[in-house]
Amino acid sequence: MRKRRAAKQPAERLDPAIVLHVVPGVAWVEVEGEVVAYDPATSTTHILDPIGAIVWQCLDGESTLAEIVTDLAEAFAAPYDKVLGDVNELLVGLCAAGVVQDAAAVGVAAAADSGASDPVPAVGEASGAQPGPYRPLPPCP
Amino acid sequence: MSIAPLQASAETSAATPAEATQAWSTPTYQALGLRFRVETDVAELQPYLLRTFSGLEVVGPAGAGVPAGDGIPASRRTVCFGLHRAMDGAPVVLTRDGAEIEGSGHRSYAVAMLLWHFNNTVVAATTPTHVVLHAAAAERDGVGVVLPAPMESGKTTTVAGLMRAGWRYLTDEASAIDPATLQVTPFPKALAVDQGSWEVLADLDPGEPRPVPTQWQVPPMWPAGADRHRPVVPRLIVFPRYAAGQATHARQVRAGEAVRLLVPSTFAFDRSPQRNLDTLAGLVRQCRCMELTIGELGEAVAVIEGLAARVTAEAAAGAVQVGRRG
Repeated sequence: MRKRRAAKQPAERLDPAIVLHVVPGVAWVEVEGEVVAYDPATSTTHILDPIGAIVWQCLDGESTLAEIVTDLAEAFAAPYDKVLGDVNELLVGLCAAGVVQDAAAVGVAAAADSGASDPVPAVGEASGAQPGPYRPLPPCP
Repeated sequence: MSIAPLQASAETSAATPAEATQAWSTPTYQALGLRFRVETDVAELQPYLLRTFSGLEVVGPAGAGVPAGDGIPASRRTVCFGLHRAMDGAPVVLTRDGAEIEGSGHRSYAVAMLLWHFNNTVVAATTPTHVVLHAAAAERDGVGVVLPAPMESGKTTTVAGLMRAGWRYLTDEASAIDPATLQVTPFPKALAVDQGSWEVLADLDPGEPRPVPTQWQVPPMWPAGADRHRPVVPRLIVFPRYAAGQATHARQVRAGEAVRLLVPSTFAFDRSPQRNLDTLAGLVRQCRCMELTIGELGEAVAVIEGLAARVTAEAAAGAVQVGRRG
């Protein structure tokens, strides 16, 4: 199987408007609260603890980071900013590992491939929900 | 290479060796997804081959079976390995379905390669339908234990110790898990005992002939009345690790960690990652998972027996939900 290129340095903070999903082809399973994910492109196995497993299972390719964090903050009765920080750290790591990617980036790639002139805006632009020095995500495979 | 006509063999090690110049065949055996037999014109190897494969299910007499060929379903084929004296005077040539796969080797090398190719072929024939773990396995009183580990970790030695203690031997090499039932299908090949374990397993010495001088092929033995080929539901996964001089001890492994440890122990994992991961998770859900550091074989067997007793007691108390899948 062809190896994916190693991800570049990941963003430190993700745009809360970003929509992420599990990279197609990554196999995963939930077992006793943990998620075990296997990336055949790198033959790497990842384990997510029960909190990470919940975040993982929220990566449906439709929900924004802000929506996921809002739901989790409510469910765990925790401050939004604290949850955002923890989830951000987890997702940056997963994106760097190549098992999670920006759903919109797939659209960008598809649009570029089809010669479209009006691609989806670059990932990482600041949103009104959480201002900050966002950097774009590494290019996803 | 020209092969003389087959000579039918008896199905026991009591078979009289054929003349060295005549081709001779084992019975046809079933080993997981592989149906096979072995031909040889080397008389001294015949009792060794019968002994080595004596634990496997005999499904046909010598020379029986459908040969490989176009249009024949793989499950119906009989693979024929051969150990032959080459016409050019080379000691022994290893063939598969008539084609040379290892040539001009010393006899011990050819036999070792036969066993290597046999194991590989069994695994390759089984991975399409089963999740095959590089793991030993045994069963007693309905409690199956699977021992996954890399080479040289103590799989064979540990399962030999269990067998000696009265457990039903299932395999020392490849535990085939049915994804639908999560049961292990026995693959009771001879136990491949390396020199490092000869002293501790001295009573299992199979004796002569010993064409591979550095490894015993120990025929399995079973408790009286045991059904050798009945599949087993595993209840224990024990990851063995031999550590000379250390105290034998076990520690529990979290379910997610157990799945992670099983991934590299799964043959051809990348061919069906999602099926394999789902099956491993299902297996882990129905098992207690432990890491076992082995300093001494008798202690390791005692630890496993203690764990099995605990699993049995928990099942009796309803603490373990049999066959539970998430």
